[in-house]
Amino acid sequence: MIYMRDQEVIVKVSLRKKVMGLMFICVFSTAMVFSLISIMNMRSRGEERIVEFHDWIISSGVHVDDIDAVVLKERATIGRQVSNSIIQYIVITMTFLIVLMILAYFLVNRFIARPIEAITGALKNFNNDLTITVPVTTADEVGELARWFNEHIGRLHQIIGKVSGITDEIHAHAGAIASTMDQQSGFSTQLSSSVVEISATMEEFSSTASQIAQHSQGVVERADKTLDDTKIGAAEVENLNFKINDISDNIQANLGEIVELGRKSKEINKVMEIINNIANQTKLIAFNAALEAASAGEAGKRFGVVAVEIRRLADSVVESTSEIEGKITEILDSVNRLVMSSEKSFQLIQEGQEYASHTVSMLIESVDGVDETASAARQISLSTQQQQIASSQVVLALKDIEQGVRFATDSIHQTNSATDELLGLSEQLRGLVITFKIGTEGDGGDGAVSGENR
Amino acid sequence: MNAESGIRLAPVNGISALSHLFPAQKEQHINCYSLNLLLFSVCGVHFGVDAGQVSEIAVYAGEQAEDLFWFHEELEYGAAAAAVTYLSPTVVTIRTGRVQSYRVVIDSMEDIADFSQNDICLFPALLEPFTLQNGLWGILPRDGRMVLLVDFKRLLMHRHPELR
Repeated sequence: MIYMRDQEVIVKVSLRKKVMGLMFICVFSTAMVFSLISIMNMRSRGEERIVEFHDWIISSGVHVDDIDAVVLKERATIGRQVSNSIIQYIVITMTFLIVLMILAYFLVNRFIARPIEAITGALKNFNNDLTITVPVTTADEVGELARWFNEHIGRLHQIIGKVSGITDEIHAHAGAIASTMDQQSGFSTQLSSSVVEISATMEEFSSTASQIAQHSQGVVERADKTLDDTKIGAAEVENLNFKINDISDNIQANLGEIVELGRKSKEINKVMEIINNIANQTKLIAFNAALEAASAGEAGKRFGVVAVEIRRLADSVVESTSEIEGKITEILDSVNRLVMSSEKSFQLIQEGQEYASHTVSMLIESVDGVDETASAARQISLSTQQQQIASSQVVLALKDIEQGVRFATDSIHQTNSATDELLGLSEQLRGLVITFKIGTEGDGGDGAVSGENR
Repeated sequence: MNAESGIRLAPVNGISALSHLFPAQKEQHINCYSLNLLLFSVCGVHFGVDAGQVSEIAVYAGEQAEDLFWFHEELEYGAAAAAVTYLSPTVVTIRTGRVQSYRVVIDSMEDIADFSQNDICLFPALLEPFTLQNGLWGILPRDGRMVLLVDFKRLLMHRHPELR
């Protein structure tokens, strides 16, 4: 019989046929050997015959030609005899062989093939039913085979039962592990995301701290510069104050000179008044002279001319004095304006001096304040730099934690995958175990393995 | 003064070239002789008096006397008298021909010069009664201004009737 198993062509040959064939070959071979031996014995009759069981040789001598002729003759005779013998032997052998074959067939069938068929039938109908047993009908090797088969089926039954229980436990534990790993995976994922968020936040914090450190450093530099500038400013304002004092003194001196100038201008004015009076009086005298010249008539004409000239001279003097008075008045007005302006300027300078002094004092105070500010800014900068370093270290630590969490998450995912695979394998194992019928309590009635799992 | 003597004691404008402004008054000219006038001003009003009436001119020193009077009071400036101020008060002694002399305080003596009588214009007959009462007898146009000619004697007649 030819059939396929696992894509292999298996030619099944019946055991009986194998045995029969083997026996046939043996018997035939034996027969052939016997025949050959016989023939060889027959052929060696004229020469020597080995008598068995005595270990000695009987031989005779004749002429070769005769021997040849006799040999030929004998050979022909022997040939005929041999042929006849062979035929007899063959017939006998074949008969014996057939008998033996029949007997062998009967024996093989009775004592070998049938038990084996029984075993084969049991195995064929095994169907993973571990409760079945093979009937032990003989005490020979086949029976022993059947017994050992039953023995091993029983052990397999126990093993499968244990495996079933263990599979259930494994399935249950795998389920528990899977659920636990799921939870852990969820927690790990949350933890990973939280660590990522914290890491991102700390990175931003570190970046901000760096910016603050830079800005605070800039503030420190600016504060130092401001301090230097303030000191310079205070010194400059102080110098300015001194200059203002000098200007004030100068203005005071100028004011005094201007006042003196005004006073002297007034004195000039007094002189001009005197000159004016003189001129007016001269004019009056000239008028009187003109009157006298007019009253003198012709005799007074020359006198009148003189009087007129004197009056003209007086008029020109008066005019000049008027101009001078005007100029002096303008000078006095200018002096007054200058004095007022100078006094105003002096007042302004005084106020400026006060403001400058006040500014100096404020600058001195601000120098102290700026110094304190610079120190505070320096402290802030140092603290910020330390904070920035600490935040950088925290960021690095968080990165390590993140990496560790990521690895843990990956491991949990892998474990989860392995657990799932384990679960799947346990399911498969259960599926395989279920196919075996062990006839335990709580079975489905058909002896199948319990399907209880987690 | 005689304008024909040749020597001019007064400025050229004493012989006014503005006589053409008063052509209607040419008929009232007295004659072609010159008149020596003393010109002064009080409170911006220009006056002229015959120099023959003035005997002396002196500076007003602030004295007060019965024979001393202020010009604007005598001329009756009226409501404007309170606002009259004298810049350079001058005492003019008036020649009355008597022993008693009278003095007038005037202001801002300007000139003593000969003026042609042709340049002098008399007041119209309609105004003469009013002007002569205050001693004003004529008008002399000079440099675009009106110089009122005053007679001190007439002016003093209000206060001193004995001068009539």
